Amino acid sequence: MRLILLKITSVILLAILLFNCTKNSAEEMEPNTATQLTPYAVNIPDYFPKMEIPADNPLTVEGISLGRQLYYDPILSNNGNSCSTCHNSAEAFSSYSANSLPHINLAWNSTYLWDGHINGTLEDIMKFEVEDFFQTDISKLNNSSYYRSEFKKVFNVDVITHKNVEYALAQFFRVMVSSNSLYDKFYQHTANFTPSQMNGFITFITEKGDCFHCHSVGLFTDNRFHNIGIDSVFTGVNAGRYNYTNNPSDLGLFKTPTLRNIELTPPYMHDGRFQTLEEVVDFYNSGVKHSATLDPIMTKGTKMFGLGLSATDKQDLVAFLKTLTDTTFTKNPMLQQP
Amino acid sequence: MSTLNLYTRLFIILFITLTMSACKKDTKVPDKVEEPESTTSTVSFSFIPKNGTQALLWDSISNTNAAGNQFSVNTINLYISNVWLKHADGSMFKSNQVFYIDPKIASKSSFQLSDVPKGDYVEIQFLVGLDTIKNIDNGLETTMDNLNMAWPTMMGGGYHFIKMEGHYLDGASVSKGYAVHLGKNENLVQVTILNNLSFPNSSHQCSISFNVNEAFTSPYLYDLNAEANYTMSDSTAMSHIKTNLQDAFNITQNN
Repeated sequence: MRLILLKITSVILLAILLFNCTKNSAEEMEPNTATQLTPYAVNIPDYFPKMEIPADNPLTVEGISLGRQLYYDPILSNNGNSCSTCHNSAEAFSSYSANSLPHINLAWNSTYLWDGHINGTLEDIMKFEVEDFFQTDISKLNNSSYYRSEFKKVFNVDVITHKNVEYALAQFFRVMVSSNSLYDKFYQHTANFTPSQMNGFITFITEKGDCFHCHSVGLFTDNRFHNIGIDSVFTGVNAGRYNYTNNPSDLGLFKTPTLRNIELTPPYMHDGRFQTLEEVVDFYNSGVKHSATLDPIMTKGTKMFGLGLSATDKQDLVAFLKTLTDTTFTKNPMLQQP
Repeated sequence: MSTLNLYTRLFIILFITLTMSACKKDTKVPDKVEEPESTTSTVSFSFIPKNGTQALLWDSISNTNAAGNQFSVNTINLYISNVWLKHADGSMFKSNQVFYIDPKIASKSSFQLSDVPKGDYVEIQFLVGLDTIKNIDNGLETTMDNLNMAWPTMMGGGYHFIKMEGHYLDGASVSKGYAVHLGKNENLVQVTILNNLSFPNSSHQCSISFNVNEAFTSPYLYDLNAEANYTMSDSTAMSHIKTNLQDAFNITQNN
């Protein structure tokens, strides 16, 4: 009897020992039920800042592809519109009719829209676009076998959430990088400017035109807010960032837009009041209006409220601005409607 | 050896093994290692703009400089680099780190030195700007802040050392803008402050105050109505501001 008891006890102890030995390694294993995803690295020139990518939303070929599908699909809205309705690739992902801000290099933004009332990452602005702007009916996506399959593949989910949609879109926006204009080739010494473009560049990059203080070379925006003097009285939408902060010192301040592909993104200013780049340059040259919040950069010495550029200087400045057009961006197959 | 003995032995071996395994798993306590006390201190520096002795009121034309100009400050962006601390015997702790400062943004209004030898110091030195090695095109890591501080190649290259911008009232009480921008190697601001600083513990906190009035006060009386209100291409104006800034900073140890 004692022998049997010892045998049984020994077997039980042996089983427990084996279980203990295997338990830890089993706990360390991650469940791997999702489809294998393909990591994607964006090609970024060294004169751009490092692109910050959230740890919980790494770029994958499959995620970007899903974001692209969603970008062009009116399923996100309740009025037949998609992102692409107001952000057309031929117009550098903006729209003349909607005067929408272009979707260019937004991965380096930390504030969004003209008054900057959305802060954070691309995931944060996509949350606004999906849940507030489009008010996406998530059931429409869940009723689609195609999207259920795609979201299962990318995010390993059986039920699609708003967050999944936002993360896929954010991945697509991170590959909307424009960095292959004539200016970029000039900067990398692989192309030259014409004399007119060069004169325009000198005007841009020196105090003659003093464009560079806000349109910082590289991304051609400082991602900050300025009152450049298009108005002297601020009501309604023209109050700009004030409408978000209620700070009187923000009256008339707007986000500095990138100048990359500016040739393709008329009309200009937050309300689209200027139709051409020539009109914009004329404004800076002689049309700046005074107000208490006018950016100090706009008022200097003898050039008070104007630049004093000649007709040739103005033409050359426009010629330089057009060197920022990047058709490899606007025609990038990876960004077109699938 | 009897069968009974064999199973008894097996039982004992398994029992001991299991017990040890269980103890190892559940009561895993790292060996206590006596760490030698660190010989260095982490010192945090908060950057505080002031109007005289008062905290600066941003965006308000409430400051008056020695020339009588009423002025506001909207923007202060600068680099503080090469912070050196001097002991009484003349030996120095030298850091060559660069810190971008924007006192309007909490996360950019302070910096830390993490490897300051514990001890007493009698002097602190730092640069407002960048030394000649770093003050070249692309001399710093490409960040949004550094792009915004770039000094155009055609105007000498490198970076703005400091930007101070705001408004002032001219003789007719009309609001105008000013932009005090310093760049180029000859305008690098060397700040030296004699002050006893004691860092005996693992962490300490100091405040670097910047008196904005001093930029316009001494030794050069800087009248925004008479001199350049926009300094970037005016070497004389930049030279005057550079000299004025050398005594515009002070340091206080908070703990």
